[in-house]
Amino acid sequence: MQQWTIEGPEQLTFGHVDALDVRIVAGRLAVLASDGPPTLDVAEFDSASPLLVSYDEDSRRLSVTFKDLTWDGLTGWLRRDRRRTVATLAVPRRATVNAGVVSASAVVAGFEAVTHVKSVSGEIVLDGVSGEVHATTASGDVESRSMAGDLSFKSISGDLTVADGVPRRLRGNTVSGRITADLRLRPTGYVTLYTVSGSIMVRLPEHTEADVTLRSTSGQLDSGFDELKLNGGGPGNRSISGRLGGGMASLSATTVSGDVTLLKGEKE
Amino acid sequence: MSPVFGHGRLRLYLLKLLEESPRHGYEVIRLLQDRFLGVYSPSPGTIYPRLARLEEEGLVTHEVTAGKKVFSITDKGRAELNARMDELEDLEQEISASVRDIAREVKEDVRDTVKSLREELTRMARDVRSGPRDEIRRTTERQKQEFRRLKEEQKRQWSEHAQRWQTEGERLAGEWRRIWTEVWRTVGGAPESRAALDDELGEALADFVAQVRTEASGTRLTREKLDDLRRTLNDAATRVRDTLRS
Repeated sequence: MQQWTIEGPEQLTFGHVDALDVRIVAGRLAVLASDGPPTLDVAEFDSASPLLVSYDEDSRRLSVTFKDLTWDGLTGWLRRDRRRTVATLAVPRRATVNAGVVSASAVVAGFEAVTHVKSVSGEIVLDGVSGEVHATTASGDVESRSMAGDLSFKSISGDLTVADGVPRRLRGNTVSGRITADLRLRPTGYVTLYTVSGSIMVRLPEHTEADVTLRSTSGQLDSGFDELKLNGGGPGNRSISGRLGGGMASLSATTVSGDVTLLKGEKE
Repeated sequence: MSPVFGHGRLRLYLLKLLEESPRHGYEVIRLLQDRFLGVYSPSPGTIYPRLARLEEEGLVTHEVTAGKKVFSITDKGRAELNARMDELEDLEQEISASVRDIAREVKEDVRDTVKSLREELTRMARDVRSGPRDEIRRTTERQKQEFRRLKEEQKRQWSEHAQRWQTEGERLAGEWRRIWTEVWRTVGGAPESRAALDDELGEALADFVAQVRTEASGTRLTREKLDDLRRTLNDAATRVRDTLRS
């Protein structure tokens, strides 16, 4: 087990890495997939307590965190000016990544295994991440581009935007955040979106083959696909549902008071 | 070509890649792409002549395995690499600086994509919705009736679903607590021995925030009030820290 204490800008290179665990408070964090040697680059560091880096060559685990983040971190959290770190990590694309930030923004790109990103108020940017991705935030937004595989998103008020997504499973669960997604669905694609007051907007290509259900208690429901029918039901029990093409993939979007809009895009 | 590879530096980096292990030409190309995360993509037309020149100078050699040329470094090549060790270090630094640039580019790029997507879909959504609304606008009278009807329906809806909303509210409070605790646990990373206490602190904080939110939503928040509140929070933070450290 090797350990380093970081108190200023620094660069480190490691041996094989299969698992990364990184937690920072404020600033910017980037975790990129690369086939080169795993590296940590700390470009800016402004914190009274040092960042601890430990690397275990046997288990191939790399961890980057503040030792005392829990207890003392509380004060750093309320006082915004402390514990600013700008760090970039490059690790193999097959590595499992566990990233946590408080107010820092996090960019995670290119991973193919299991990726967990958690944030309190910092925004999370995911680019070209496949495999299994879990993004959880309180108020930070999650922006995803070119995702494939499984994405599960949970937030209180943070928005989720998925651009150019080809999900196998996409689960979005937020209280007041908005969900905006531009998706293509494979026959096995399975999408479930749920918000309380946030609006949901989904765009599917014209020739999508999927079973679709949009529900809202009091929000407005709109669909650009004429095949889908509005089921009156009683108040608070309205839905738009139906089969696009031959069905197979599945999309369901449910809100309490948020609007739900399904848009028809170009031919795939 | 990337400015990183000025002044014979590509040559140096090729030697470094071959020093790590013997490689095929295409493997060298792929590695260069990967180390620069796809931003720098050399073409075979750049790399193969370079390798050939290095071979002429006796710095690398090749053997043919399974019909493919596998290049490896020679002692002479290793000597040049060692002599230029300082330069190599600079180069690696510049590469990590360029990786940092890539991270920033990725972020800006995704944000732009996401922003224009959101704008585009919002515009499309407005078009989808405008249809039925135009009809409503045809006569003021019809509109008024429609409003009245909607209002009544909403009223009925509201009372019918008050119950449901209430359970929803309770579920939400639970959800807030759960997500908060989950995030708190990850970010905090407390040792096993006091993880339970740590969770409890997290939950106490979640409840605190939820309470403040509820109270704040019922009042008018001004910049002055906010500054005032921030001072109060800072005081509280100091006292919390003192308690934790005592």
